[in-house]
Amino acid sequence: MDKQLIKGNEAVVYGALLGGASHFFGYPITPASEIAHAAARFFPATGRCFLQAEDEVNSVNMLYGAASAGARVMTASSGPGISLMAEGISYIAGAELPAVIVNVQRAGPGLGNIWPEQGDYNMVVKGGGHGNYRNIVLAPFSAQEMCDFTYRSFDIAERYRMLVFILADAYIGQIMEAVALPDEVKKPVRQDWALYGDKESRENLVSSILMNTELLSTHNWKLDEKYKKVAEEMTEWEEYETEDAEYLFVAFGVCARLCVSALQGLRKMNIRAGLLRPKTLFPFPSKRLDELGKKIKSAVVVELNNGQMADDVELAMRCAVPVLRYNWMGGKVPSTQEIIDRAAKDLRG
Amino acid sequence: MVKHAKPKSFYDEFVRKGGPGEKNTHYCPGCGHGNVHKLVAEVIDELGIQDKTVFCSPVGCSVFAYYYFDVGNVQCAHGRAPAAGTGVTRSLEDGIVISYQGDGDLAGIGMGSIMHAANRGEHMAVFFVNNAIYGMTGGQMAPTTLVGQKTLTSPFGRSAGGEGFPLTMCEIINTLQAPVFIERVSLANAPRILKAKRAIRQALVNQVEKKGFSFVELLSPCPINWKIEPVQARKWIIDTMEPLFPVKNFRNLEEAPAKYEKPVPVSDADMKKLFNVEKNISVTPKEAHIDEQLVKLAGFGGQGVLSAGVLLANCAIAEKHNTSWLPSYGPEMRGGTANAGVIISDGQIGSPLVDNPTFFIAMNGPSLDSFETDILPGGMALINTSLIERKVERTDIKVLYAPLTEIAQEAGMAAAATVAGITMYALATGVIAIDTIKQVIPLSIKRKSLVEENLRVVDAAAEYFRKNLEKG
Amino acid sequence: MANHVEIADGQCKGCRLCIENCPTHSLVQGSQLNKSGYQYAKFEQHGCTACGFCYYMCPEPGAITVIKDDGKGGA
Repeated sequence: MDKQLIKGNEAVVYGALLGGASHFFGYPITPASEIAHAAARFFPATGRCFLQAEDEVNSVNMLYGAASAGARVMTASSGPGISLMAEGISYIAGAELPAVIVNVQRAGPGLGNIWPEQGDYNMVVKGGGHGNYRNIVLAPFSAQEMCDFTYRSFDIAERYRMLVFILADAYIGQIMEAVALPDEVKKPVRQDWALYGDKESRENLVSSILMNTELLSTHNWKLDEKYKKVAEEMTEWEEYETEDAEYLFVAFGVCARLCVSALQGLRKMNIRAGLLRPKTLFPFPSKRLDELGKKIKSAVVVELNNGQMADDVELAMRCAVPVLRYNWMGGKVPSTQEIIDRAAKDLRG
Repeated sequence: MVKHAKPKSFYDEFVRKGGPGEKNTHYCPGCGHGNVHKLVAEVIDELGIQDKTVFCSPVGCSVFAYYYFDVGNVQCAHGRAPAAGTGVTRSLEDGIVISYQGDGDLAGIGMGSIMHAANRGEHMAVFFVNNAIYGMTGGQMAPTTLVGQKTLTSPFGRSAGGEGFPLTMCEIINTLQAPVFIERVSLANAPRILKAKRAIRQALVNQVEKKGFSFVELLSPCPINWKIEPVQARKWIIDTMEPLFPVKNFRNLEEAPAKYEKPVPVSDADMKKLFNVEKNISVTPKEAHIDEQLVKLAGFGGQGVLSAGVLLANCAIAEKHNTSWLPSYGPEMRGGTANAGVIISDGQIGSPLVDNPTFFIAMNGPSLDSFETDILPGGMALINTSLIERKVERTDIKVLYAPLTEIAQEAGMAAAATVAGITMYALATGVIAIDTIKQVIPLSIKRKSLVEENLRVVDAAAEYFRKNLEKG
Repeated sequence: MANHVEIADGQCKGCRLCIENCPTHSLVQGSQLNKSGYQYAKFEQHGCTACGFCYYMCPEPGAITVIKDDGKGGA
């Protein structure tokens, strides 16, 4: 298909349906509501199921049930809704169910406001609910990636039997850009662990309770091994002008877009800046950051939060170089010029 | 002849509980769960639905129902079996979904879940075991605990004034339209248990016949936490529970009052057709490389600045440029204006924010006040003189003055003043051809009846521009 | 063989519900303890009608099996 102008939030739904999503259970919240709007139109129109749940607690549990029955399930929300889903997300991890959740981040804490922020990084990337678990987290930075990442997420979720988060922000949700839709329409594949209401699957059990400490310990270590495998197999990132970079910017989502523009300005000032943009936040491109950390003078982590990813960058670089933290919160988004000016001042020394 | 024996929908050995050879449940002596389990398993046998059944177990004493039932099992979060059951029933064409819940699970933490599943008429049989106390956690107050009943968290007896009255779930569910079957039964003695079996059977028959939501409340003993020995506990059900929770059928409908219309699948080709939201047009792109265009349109809500921005972005795509559109959002929203930023470029578009526009279209006064200082030096501003009386103060930008609203009004559609603005932007910068705008409009405008008016506005705006602004 | 009830000793939890609900008083509590420490129920023929009350009152899935005389003389 040729490129068409599509809003990031709507691109999620096209990507989902082409990626084989069969069920959408959701509850409206700004700035993610366009996803539910588009899902309400296009899921039923393509023979799939859309259901507006009574709240996010129940939408995530509908995900849990439908995923148990082998469906390709998704929901979308924003911070407060994701907080409500925390218990269900932990159950999904414990029961090893594949599911997809899109979080179009708004500003917090509490009700906060509806403008962009990246303050849910820790909640989504580190887990957010109770217990030892991980989610796979994809961080799109364009409407195209909103489509592509969602499209791929169902396969990834099934491959690892894990929850895949699409961690977007209000701007990436609201932006309209030319999007090329994927060609192949994916189909759900029968899962040998799921319940299909038939003889072959009757023995299957979806559960996260293991009363025996030995069994639960084994289960936890098995999950941990799986997360390590995920880290080996699917860490993704993109680099801009890192070959000769003395200063490495690290940013995801809309911040990565700002940094792409800022690099141009800084290069014009003969500041050799590069950018690493994680496309997966879990797994995190720690190894590559470690390598780059040995070649640069300092790193600059640009985030719309209080430095949540910067902690991970610092850890990955093992304090080899100073890690500067450029943070904005509360829905404030810097202009490209603000970043350039601040970096010029900091990096010229 | 064996007349009554362990139903075959139970595992022969409860391996999930305690390994091979395990035959006992984890339930305390005299517990009602075992009775309900046996009735449900018998009915599953009788209806021949063992393979089709997916049993959603709760959090509570029956959390381990999957130890016993040889059917598909999903263990659910506290109170959420009706939500998980919703997911299951909406996924399986012929599945039989059971939501088995206790009083804390269903009427406490899961009150919202059960009410909404019932209200949607989800295809599931709910077996609600009401024993007026929290069993698994050791005997705390439940939503159905009787007034005066002593529990660990109501040690002096439940006080209606402080802790409210026991919830009567059948009566509450009976206020909803969608459920097809609602009945309360008791496990107090054998005749009552046989009646309970008939209710359970009806609830499951309704699933086989795809009738809809069926709710059975079972008054059940918890001897250990009631601190009453098992035989007396059954009598307590009759003496103390049944007067408050009347044992009776509340509803038994022939069919559900509303039916779920399952969406019809479509072919891959039809799906793609459906997604082709903006049909593509082919325009021969100009050879020349364009400078990055940072366009900001601002006005008041309802002036169509957002949709005019979309039109411009669509034109840019038609001419094979890269483009991004971002609506007024966040800290950009100043002075009560709505605005959209459109970037058109032949390179990669980094920041989608139009902080400093190369071209600014001001549709009203507050917009000009808000953004005049932001315009990039050397940039351009188009001022809608129909609504803006003052002149632009900046001297380092080029300014075009045009009565956009009047031009659009005279062409038949005042609401398309922003389209006049886009037209003049195209002519002033040469980035987009007027012909492209006219080709995109029919595809970009949702209300087809308005296409003609919009096209007339484009012509009128172009004419005004050529007459009054081109030379300038 | 006449109507009778078979009790799986090891599965009985001694709750007495079968005993109290038997219309023909054909069940009694034994004096011996099973492996779990329960004084399990025992069947004594007092005109059992194979009504099944004991079976339905019993909370354990497999503790009680009721056998009806089918007139063929076998079990």
